[in-house]
Amino acid sequence: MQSGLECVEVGLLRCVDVSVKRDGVSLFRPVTFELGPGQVITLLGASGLGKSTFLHALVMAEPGVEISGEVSLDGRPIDPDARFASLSQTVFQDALLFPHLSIRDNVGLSLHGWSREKRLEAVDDILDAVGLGTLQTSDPYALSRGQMMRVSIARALVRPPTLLLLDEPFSALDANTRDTVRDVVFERARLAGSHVILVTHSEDDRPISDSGQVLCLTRS
Amino acid sequence: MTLIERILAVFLALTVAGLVYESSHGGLPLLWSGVHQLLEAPAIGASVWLAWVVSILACWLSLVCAQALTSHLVTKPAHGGVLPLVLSIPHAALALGLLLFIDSGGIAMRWAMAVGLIEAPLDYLFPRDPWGMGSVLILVIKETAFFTLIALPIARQLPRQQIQVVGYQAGFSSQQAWHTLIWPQVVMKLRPAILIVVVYGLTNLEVAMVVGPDQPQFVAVRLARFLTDADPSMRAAGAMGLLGLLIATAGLWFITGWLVKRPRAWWFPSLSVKWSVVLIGVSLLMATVALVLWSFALRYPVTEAWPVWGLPSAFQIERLVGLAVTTVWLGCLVALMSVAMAVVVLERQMARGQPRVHWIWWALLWLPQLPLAAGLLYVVTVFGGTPAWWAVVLGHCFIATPYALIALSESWFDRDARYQMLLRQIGMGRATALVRIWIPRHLGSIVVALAVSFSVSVALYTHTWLLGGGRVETLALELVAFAHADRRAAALSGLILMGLPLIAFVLALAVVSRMGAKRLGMRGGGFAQVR
Repeated sequence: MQSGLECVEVGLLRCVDVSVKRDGVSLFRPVTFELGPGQVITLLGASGLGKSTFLHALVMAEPGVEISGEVSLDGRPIDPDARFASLSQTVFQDALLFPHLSIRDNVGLSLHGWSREKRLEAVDDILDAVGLGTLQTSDPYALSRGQMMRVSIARALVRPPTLLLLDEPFSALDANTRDTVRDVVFERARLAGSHVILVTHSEDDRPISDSGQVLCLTRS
Repeated sequence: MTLIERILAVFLALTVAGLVYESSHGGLPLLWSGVHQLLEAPAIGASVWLAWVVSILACWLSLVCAQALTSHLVTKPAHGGVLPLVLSIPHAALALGLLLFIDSGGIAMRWAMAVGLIEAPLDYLFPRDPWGMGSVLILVIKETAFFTLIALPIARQLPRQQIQVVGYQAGFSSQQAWHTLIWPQVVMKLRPAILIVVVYGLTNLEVAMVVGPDQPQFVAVRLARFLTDADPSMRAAGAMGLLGLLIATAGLWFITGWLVKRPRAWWFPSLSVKWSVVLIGVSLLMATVALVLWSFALRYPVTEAWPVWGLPSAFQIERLVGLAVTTVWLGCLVALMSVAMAVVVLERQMARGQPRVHWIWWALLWLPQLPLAAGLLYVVTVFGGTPAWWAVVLGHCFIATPYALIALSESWFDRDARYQMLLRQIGMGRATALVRIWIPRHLGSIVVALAVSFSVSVALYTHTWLLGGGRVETLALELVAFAHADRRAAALSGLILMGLPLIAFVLALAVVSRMGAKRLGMRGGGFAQVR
């Protein structure tokens, strides 16, 4: 196993009759699923259905937004305040890089407390994996949109999370790069035992070898 | 660059040329004599060093306080209404009020003696201290409000919620995420504001003359004295010093550019919002109380908690009315001219399809006030003029117009291009459209811009003093002149000076709210109807 890929395996992520309510109104019909370590679930559905809101609600509380139903990880129900923030990493539709930090600092954001050598090793390893090992610049805003997106993906993978939340992560990548990066993401998640929730519109974003689940959300 | 901007560029070049002319028109002997006067002036190095340290320290502390205030106000916009009022208070009035309250013989000391905390006034030097810390305090109070007002819209444009998610997932608390991930991004866009604040701190005269320091004085105060000296070589030395300040400002532009390219979170320690609010709130309260007490004090013995009350004499009232009238008409004229100029500039930019303000207007705020005013004075003199009210109006417009542009540009540029197409199709010319469509449409912003320009004008000291040659007497000049001679006269001037911008803003808000009230259905839920 490569450095930085410590196994974070925990038990099942269970969602029973789960939906997201905004101002008391359910955004989609309640769904039930179980997700084991290293497994992927793909959420499909029309725009505006609340898929991204659901991912967001798993991480932090937002006024007017609540999760209905039962969500638990390893038998422990979700904390209503802290949610799964400390256990998860999110890749958003936009790269969301920090212009005041170098590319390495952006990727190593969650590695504070690590020694400099270990941090650099982990960062360089993941940048290599997503095809950015030969970057000539340290300025994140000198990158193309696709490269920025890959930096954002590297940030989420550098310290393998228990829960990896992917919100249309490959939409900015060209077909070849998407295939490579997609394989890196799911392979690393599998090795690390991360539970992966993927929100996408595109079948191409799903892992090739996935025998996992697909859920089509519908309006309630 | 439009014609207006070219004229402005020529004017700016002429002000620099004026300084060069003053420093060298007597030929090489005068030039050398000026250089000697400047270099041999006692403790001139300490004056320069002190001014830089104070302006940079004040800027940094203001950013630290603004960080705390912005983090609070970004989610609670309703709490930020008081900031424009803080910003409208003239520096000189605030400085005088605080001096009268916390000086070693000030009101705080009198109250402490009255309740038995101390037996005699304590002997300390603050805010008129030799290290310029009093100036730092005044600048921090005002510039915190300035930075916060500029930082808020920048912070609101950032995807804060998503950044917070990334922060939580990286193990940061909400405050740490703000401090580490959001504030540095805001600072990256504060470069123009940082430059304005440092340059003002470096070259303002009014705060330095009210709260010191005295030995040595800030370099700007000393150069201003050189400029008004009877000895031509001293005036040459002053002009040379001001040219040096201009060059330093240019250097500062590059340094700030380098600094804000990648600001580090640790540069700005976290401060609780309570401390910022307490610092600003308590200071404003103390300054206001001091100005009110001294304004109505017939006598105020140092051993008494309260003054012997008394109304100003008929002579004082007559003088104050005269000063206030001059200040107000000057402010109104400058406000009208600046806003008219701003409207013309903005409309011209829209016509050219370039909805942005040319950098030359910002240069008026980035250039130190003292060299700018002194250069203008030389231009006036070279063309055969003498210091007079029209030169003061011109000088005030140079500073007030960029502020009018700031106040107007956002709403002016937020215009759908299809309107222009529509107006062309109905055959309406640009001038007619400006008068019949755009000015009425932006009337709310225009009224606010008038209040902003008026506030800027009434607070200006350096331009009024230099370009008026003492013939145009305003409240700001009276305050500074009497700050250490006649506390009551100075306090009365300070109180009126503090009140004028407040009145302007209250009037502006009343007009804006009256305009809003004329429109029905603007509070959501339904279509707007115009009576």
